[in-house]
Amino acid sequence: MARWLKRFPIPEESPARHVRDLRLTFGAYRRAPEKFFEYTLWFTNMEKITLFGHGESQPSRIPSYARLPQSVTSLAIYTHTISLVQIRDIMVQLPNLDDLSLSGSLVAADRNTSPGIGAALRGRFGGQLRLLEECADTDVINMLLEVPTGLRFVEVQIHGTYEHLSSAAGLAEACGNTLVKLSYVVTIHGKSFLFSWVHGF
Amino acid sequence: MREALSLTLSPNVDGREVYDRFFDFSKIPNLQEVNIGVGWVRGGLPWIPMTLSTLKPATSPHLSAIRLEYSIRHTRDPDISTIEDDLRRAADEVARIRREFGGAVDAAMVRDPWYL
Repeated sequence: MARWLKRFPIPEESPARHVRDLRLTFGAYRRAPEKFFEYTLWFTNMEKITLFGHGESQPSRIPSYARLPQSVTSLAIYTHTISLVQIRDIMVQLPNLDDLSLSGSLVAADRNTSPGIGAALRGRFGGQLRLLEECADTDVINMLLEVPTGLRFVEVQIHGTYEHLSSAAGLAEACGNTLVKLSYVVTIHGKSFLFSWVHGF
Repeated sequence: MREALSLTLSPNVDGREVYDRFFDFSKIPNLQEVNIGVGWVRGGLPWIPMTLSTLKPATSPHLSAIRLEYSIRHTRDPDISTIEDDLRRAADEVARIRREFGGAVDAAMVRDPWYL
């Protein structure tokens, strides 16, 4: 990304509009420079964005300054530490979201996040939903259930811990008219990546 | 919009806590494929046969595959016999699904897959 900034100092003259799939790392040694996020709005035809966060004990910093193009229909976040508010702040910029994948640890302070955090979200939410590890969480699910336009996911994959069985069941029922494929896995730490690989999710 | 989704732990007749929530597939009419995996048991597994019992040809006409994979090596429940009872009832439900769907559904129940 640093080389991108050096090569294309003027965003309008960059090939950003040709990019469909963007993968960014933050909070780690090889992270994207913060300045790069001033350019992300120029990726006007981007369809999928994947955010990787590694090695942070504090909430990852990306959501506060990231500006994402509304063309994005698929969002994936894989991080060690992120808050529900940060996830919401990313999602709220993407009114055409179809696919959502969240994996990693939620910041504990979010456990008592007040109701209504998902009311500002817009999206189609008609593709695939993947909630893994601590992101397979009641707070995350309740945020999604608060989306005013409802949920129409076709595939739902939830790999979490026991405490969220009730929420997972509620989420599946909320997608009742559209849901075709459901994967629900309970493990001790919510980690069961290989299950999904074996079965092609 | 937010529904009451808090998990309830209810004491059953022998005082053991069980989860009283399960997936109700009768409310998901377009369901085609279900994967359920359990690698950590707490509160028994009554929700599995209860969930499977909601799969009927009339309410799940598009169902083609259901796969249940479980391991009880990491149970938090001291009474393992009740878990075995839950699993026997789950096996009965899988047999019923095979019978009632008349071969249209690939139903499998696998114990101790290596990744759970």
